[in-house]
Amino acid sequence: MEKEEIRKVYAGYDLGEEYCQISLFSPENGPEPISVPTLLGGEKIRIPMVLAKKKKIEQWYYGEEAIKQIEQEEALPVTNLFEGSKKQETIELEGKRYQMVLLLQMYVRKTFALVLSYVPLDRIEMCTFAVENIDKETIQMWKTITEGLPITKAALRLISYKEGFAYYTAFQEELPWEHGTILLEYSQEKVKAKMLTVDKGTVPKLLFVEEKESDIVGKEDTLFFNYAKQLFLQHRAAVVYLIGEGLSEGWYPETLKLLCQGRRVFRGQNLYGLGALQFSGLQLGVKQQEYLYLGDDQLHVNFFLKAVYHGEEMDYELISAELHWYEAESSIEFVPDGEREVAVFARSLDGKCEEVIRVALKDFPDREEKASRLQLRLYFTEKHKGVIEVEDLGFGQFYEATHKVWKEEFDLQLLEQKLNGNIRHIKER
Amino acid sequence: MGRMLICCGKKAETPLYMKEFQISVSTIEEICYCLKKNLHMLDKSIMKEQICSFIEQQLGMETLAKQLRAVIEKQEGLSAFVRCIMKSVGYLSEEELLYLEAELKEVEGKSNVVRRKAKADFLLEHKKYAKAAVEYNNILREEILEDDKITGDIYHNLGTTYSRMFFFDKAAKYYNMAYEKNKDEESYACYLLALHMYLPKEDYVKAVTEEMVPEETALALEQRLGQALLDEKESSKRNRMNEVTKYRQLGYVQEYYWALEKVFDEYKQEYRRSMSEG
Repeated sequence: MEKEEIRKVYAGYDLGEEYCQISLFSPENGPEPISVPTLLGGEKIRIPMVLAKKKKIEQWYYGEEAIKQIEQEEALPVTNLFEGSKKQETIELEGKRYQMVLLLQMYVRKTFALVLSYVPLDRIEMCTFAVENIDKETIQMWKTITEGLPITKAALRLISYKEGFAYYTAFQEELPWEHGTILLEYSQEKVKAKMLTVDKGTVPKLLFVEEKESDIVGKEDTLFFNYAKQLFLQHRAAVVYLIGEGLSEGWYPETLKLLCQGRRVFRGQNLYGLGALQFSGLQLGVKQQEYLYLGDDQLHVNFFLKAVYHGEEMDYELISAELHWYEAESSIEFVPDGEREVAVFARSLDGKCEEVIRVALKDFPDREEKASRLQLRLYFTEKHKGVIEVEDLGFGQFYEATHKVWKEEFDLQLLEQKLNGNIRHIKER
Repeated sequence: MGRMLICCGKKAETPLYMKEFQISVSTIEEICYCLKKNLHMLDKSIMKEQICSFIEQQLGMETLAKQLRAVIEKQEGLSAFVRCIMKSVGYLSEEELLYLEAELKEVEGKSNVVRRKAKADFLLEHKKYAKAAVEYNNILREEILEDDKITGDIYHNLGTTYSRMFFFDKAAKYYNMAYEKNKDEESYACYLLALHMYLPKEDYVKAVTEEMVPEETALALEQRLGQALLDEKESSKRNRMNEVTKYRQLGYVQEYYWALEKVFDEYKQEYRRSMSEG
């Protein structure tokens, strides 16, 4: 690793519905990542997702301090920040209305103050947020809450818990996790599992995570035992992680014995935050990309054009697979030569299959050949909906731009299934 | 099968004004198009530091700028210079490039008079009449004209330039001079037509008699003029005026005057552009 890379500072932020947790890597603070405690020198690392407004004045508390102020009846509580923000709700406090998403923005900004004990915030070169699930509302919420941070947009990323789990595990070099890893989580009185598998037949090796909720409600050792037993029948596991406060208690001794039979078992609270941190490191090139997570939020195809660039005929990459659909977009300008149709190619991950999405340029302006400049934009409006737009930009002083736009939408899921059928087979192995 | 050329370099914040072609360009692709379109007007005057600096600083294409400077320094010629630019973008296929090089070699082999005439012809074709007139007059004044055919063509085009500017008396003079040099019947026909356009009818008849113009020639000219008038009736400009006139016929007086004003404004703009020497 180059000296300059070692000096990079990056962070991971577990944005849960009931708490958040920040992980940080900064060379000045040692060679290992830090799980930022709620109090300097303290051991608690989970920050309750609670805000409280001091009565009669505009003063706000967060986390443990907010809980304390609420208990002392000195402040008014704001809970349900995460869901309320997603749903764009408002709350009324002492006759004034507040947008939940802006309160969550404030909360996030205040939690980042904890990082100041280690590094100034403007030194963070990459910060990845991890959330349970990613949908349109979550993405919009995330964009709003991160606006208040002194970190540039380009240095902010968003991943799911599944992806955080995958990348956390991938960097546990001493563990036999490639033989199968299961994460058991107790959250909101429910048990759920995430199963990690590896496809070693590619470079980089591909990681897949499957999720399974259980019917178990409450803390019943027998039910938990049967659930775990069933899981191990279906999924091999050499490593097990236990997360969630419910699993830090001793209510499941029989299940624990089962888990420990021939497996390495670990308990923790900051797996997702550290996974997000590892993702940040990968984006900065600090870590080697030996493994690549492929989940529902990633594109499973590569998009490109067969074009001429700097005089060379080539497959010109527009968007590469592995990017999250909500981040993937491409915009290029080109000059058509004898073409009244734009062909965007999609290629499977193994490079063996191709499909074409065509955009017909109907009613193209009457001009000489190679005297038009067009802009092509490729982006995704939803998880499975891709859009290709082509706009006429004219040709300088030779031909005025009409700004006519040709548009084509396509179903990404269908496209991926058509191209990557073999990938599904590997996952089920 | 068509191709797609991915655009190279940046779009210039400050376009380059290419004086030779009377146009500003902002991208390398526009430069390529401009060079290809005006191949027959190209000469070594485009091979200068100004274009290299523009390509380097405004378009961000340092490698190309370096290559072009090397071509200039080694005096490799116009063909090498243009090829370098075209290849950097892939604007032309290999076949088109070979054709271009052959054409450029031919252009390079042409005399100064021919190249300057091509430039003046370009201005005439693009309705820059005042500039075209200046250029033709400059050639006639500055160059040694040994070829009667080319000289005649220059006079002829100068006559055409003046006729487009409605200076039919000057047009007639130069068409006549053209005929004396090139003996082209077309030049003579244009001379008579120019006379027709500015002389009163009786003076025109007198002139035609004095010139001893054969009757069939005079008749053919009348037919030609008649056809031109008919063509004008079906032209887009006439159609436009007919549309405007309809407003008046339908009683929409206000709309009629608005539309009329708009059309006249456009004609004025067009005329000013054609008469501009800037």
